[in-house]
Amino acid sequence: MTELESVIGLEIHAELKTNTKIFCGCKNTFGEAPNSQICPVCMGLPGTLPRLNSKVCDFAVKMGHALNCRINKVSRMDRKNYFYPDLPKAYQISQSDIPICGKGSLDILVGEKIRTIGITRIHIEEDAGKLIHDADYRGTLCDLNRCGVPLIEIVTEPDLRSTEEVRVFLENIRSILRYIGISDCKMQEGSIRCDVNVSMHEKETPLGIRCELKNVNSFSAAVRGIEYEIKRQTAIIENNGHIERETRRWDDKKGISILMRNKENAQDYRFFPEPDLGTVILSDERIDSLKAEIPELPNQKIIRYVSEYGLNCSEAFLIADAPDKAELFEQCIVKSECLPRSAANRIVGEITKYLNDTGKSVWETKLTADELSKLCAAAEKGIVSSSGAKTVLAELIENGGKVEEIIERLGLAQNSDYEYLCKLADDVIANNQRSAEDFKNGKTNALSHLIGQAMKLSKGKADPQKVKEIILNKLKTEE
Amino acid sequence: MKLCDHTALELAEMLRKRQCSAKEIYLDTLQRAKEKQDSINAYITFNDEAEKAAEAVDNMLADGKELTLIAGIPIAVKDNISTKGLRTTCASKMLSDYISPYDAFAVERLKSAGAVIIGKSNMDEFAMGSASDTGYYGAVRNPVNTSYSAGGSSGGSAASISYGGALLALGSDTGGSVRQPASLCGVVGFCPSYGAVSRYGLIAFASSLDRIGAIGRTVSDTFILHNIINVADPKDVTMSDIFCSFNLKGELKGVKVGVVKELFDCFMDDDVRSSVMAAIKLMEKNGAVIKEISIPSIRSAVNAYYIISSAEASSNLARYDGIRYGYRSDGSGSLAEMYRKSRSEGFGTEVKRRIMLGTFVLSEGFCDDYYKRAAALRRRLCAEFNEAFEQCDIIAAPVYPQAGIKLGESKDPIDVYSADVFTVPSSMAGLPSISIPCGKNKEGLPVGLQLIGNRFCDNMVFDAAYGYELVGGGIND
Amino acid sequence: MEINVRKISDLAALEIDEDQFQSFEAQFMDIVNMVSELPECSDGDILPEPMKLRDDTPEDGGVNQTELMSNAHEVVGNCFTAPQTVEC
Ligand SMILES: [Mg+2]
Ligand SMILES: [Zn+2]
Repeated sequence: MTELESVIGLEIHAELKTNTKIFCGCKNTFGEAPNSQICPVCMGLPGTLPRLNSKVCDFAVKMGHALNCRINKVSRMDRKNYFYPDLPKAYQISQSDIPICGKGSLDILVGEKIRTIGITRIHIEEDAGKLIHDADYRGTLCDLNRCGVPLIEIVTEPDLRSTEEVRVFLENIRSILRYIGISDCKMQEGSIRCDVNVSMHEKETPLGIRCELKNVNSFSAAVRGIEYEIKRQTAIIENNGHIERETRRWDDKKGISILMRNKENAQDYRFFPEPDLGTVILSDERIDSLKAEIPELPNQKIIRYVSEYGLNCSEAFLIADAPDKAELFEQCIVKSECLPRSAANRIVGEITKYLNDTGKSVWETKLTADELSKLCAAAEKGIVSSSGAKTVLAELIENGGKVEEIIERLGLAQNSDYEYLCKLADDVIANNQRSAEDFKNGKTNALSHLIGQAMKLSKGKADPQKVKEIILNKLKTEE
Repeated sequence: MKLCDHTALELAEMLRKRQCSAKEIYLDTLQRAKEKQDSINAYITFNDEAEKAAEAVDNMLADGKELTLIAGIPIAVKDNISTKGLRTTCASKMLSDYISPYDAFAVERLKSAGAVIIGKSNMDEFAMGSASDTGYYGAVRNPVNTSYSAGGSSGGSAASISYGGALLALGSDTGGSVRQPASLCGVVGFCPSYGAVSRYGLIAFASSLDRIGAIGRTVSDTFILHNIINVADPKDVTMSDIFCSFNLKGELKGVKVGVVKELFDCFMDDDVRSSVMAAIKLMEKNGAVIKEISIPSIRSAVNAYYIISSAEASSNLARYDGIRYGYRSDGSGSLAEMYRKSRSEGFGTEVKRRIMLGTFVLSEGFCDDYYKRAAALRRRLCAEFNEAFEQCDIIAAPVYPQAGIKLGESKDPIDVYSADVFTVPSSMAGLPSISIPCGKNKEGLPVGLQLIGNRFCDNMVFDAAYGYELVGGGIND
Repeated sequence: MEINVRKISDLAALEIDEDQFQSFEAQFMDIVNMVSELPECSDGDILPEPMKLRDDTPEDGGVNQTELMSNAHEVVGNCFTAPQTVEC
């Protein structure tokens, strides 16, 4: 048998950070007391009617633009009918036949290759409530605060081929959602979740039967779930078994998937047009102006950083993922006072560490691209030592100021003047003849002693790299 | 003659002339309503706050305040229209204890207009039925002859107007539920254009068809009530923002009245046929121009109606699961069992039948053949009505094939459904229509004439009905 | 296609008494036959009339939590209750 390949499609649900819910004026908040954020509409009281929040459409269209989707000027809301205690109307208002965004695609960088992942559609819908399983109560408690929180559902084509691709794709999606300011993507609040479809086939043959994995509440769980599912299906196929069309529930704690429904008892959602709402119509002007709000997106930045500035994928992601870091990096590039690589190193290194430790963004620090560029340039030219540069950077972040002035004030200037360093080398060799001899006789560590002496003599101001080169040259020519 | 035997407009004038007080009108009407409650069963709940509302109107009159024409007028509200603090049962065991925490938009309008809501009127369970006999609170009897039904589903509203248990009433009309009981009880019932009256607070049966309609003893009475509720409400986005200016002239001269050939080919009692034909002749005699027209899809409308209304009902009534409100079965164990038991014990037979039908027509493998085909037919019907209204201003038709529905006889649902053939076409097309008394059968049971207008030509419907009433039609014949 | 009335009642979360099942089924099939008499119509997507959208500004529903929950069969810790769900 030839090698099996996994084929993966995703349905990603992201909560939108609007002020209010999708169909009523209740606040869209998280973590409030149970059933404190409800009204007659979102708790589905008899006689109530929904009213669609315009911001939800705007946000969905923005995501559509970000994923290069065809935007449907005319779309429709539909009802998806099923009974569950978290769904007060016993139907979810969603979009079935005519979603707000149609086909699109997203380019992502996996390894060193660009992969284009097809987007089937993006639609808007309402979230369900939260069920609480309290130890003291033999039953389920229903908190409806989350009912009616707006969601977009992003559905991909079965274009993903590995868990690595899934991981990168999901990271890019999350990054884009944050970039365009439509979702916080706070995993711990369940604000972004996904359903996963996995099938296995031999390359160049038709796709296999897929299984759907539900209840995947984080991106890392998605990767674990898919890994499990690939193993499970591979084992069945290798034992000459057949994969059945199934819906399975992922239990992340136990690390297993459990059968929920098979083909025979598949859910019948009885979709039909929502009669309480009219057609959603978007004007060309509105669609275009939303497009104009889309900045260059992280997935595009990543590809550019790797191909143009020689960063590796993870460095590029780390910078591009955060709008503040990306802005800092790109401003440095525009100034072209320093190498992109040196700016990237500082951002990925000390700056990221500081931001992680303090929970601040670049914008909340005193650091500017101007000074970061100057600092990188100074380090490149040896005006400041690498440890000196760290000190300056810490000062820039905490208190701001000018690089030159800080170097001066803290006495961190490094002497790279050739004549001065030659004189220094001569003095050191002359005063340490024994070490010079040792070096010539093959004791290479004698060199460090000479450099150390030079640094001591220069009160730490000499450029150690250059001093090393000069001493080495002198000792060699003396031979 | 008691106060409750006057028309609402007469009482409005008497109030202004201080010939009576709102409280007197209310007490008089309430007394009549209570007298007849045992024999007619028009009400499910009386409103304890009504007397206070009447007194408030009297105080405002004493203060010389400007009041609407319905101020101080006792009004019955169908029990599927939400009233804050006053139970709203939909004549169902499911909601027998349900007290809405908010007022329907139409009820808000009534309250702010100074109307006196006398009580909640009886009906078919969740408005599903044609004889007001499917409800949990028993059948509504026809005040004209109590061995007959008041019609349905707004039977309690129509009956109360007929016997003086209310001066005006709100009903709801999904496939004829205002017009048909109005016809059977000999009163006027108006079903507005879809989108002319906010549905907010009307407990949904079939959202794309449901409308709140006014019922009164005369066209003018009905008209003043409709005017109060025909106001924009942002809470219902299916509302249109077209609001016609209303005033009644009653001019029949030159009005082109269409008679749909296909409808008159349908079965109807001879008495019904002759009464309706006589009414059309009377309009012609007074200047109307009668035109025979054809609407080829009109007879299929009833089949499509039962598919679409049941489909929407199956979804709208799924929320009654015993969790947040409504009946919950005691014997429930598992979640699935609680759903099944609560719903099976809480809903009556007719409601279950419709939910089953609606679930079926939407289910996988059948949706294309049933729901989608019905929706396509509905679009075709609308187009055909559009063409028809290029040839005429108003369509005249019967309301119901029979003058009376005998109570207590078991009926085949198919026969009951088929009898809606005259009322559902305008329901499906969202058109305004009115039922106005146009005669009686041999047993003295009233017959109604239906006038249908083009979408948002509600004023034209009222005006034609008023014209007909002026020349001899209506309750005062 | 075969119509499975039991499956439909499951979907609708309704129970039909076993002793009435046959008569219900027969009557149900009659109704289905009645409504299935529809002329062939060209389909196409069903589009309702356009609607106005709501501004994203918070509104007070005007009904307090106690009133909203006052019709519930049971309230525990400000939550509605249901039998234990199988999945969680
Ligand atoms: Mg979804
Ligand atoms: Zn709400």
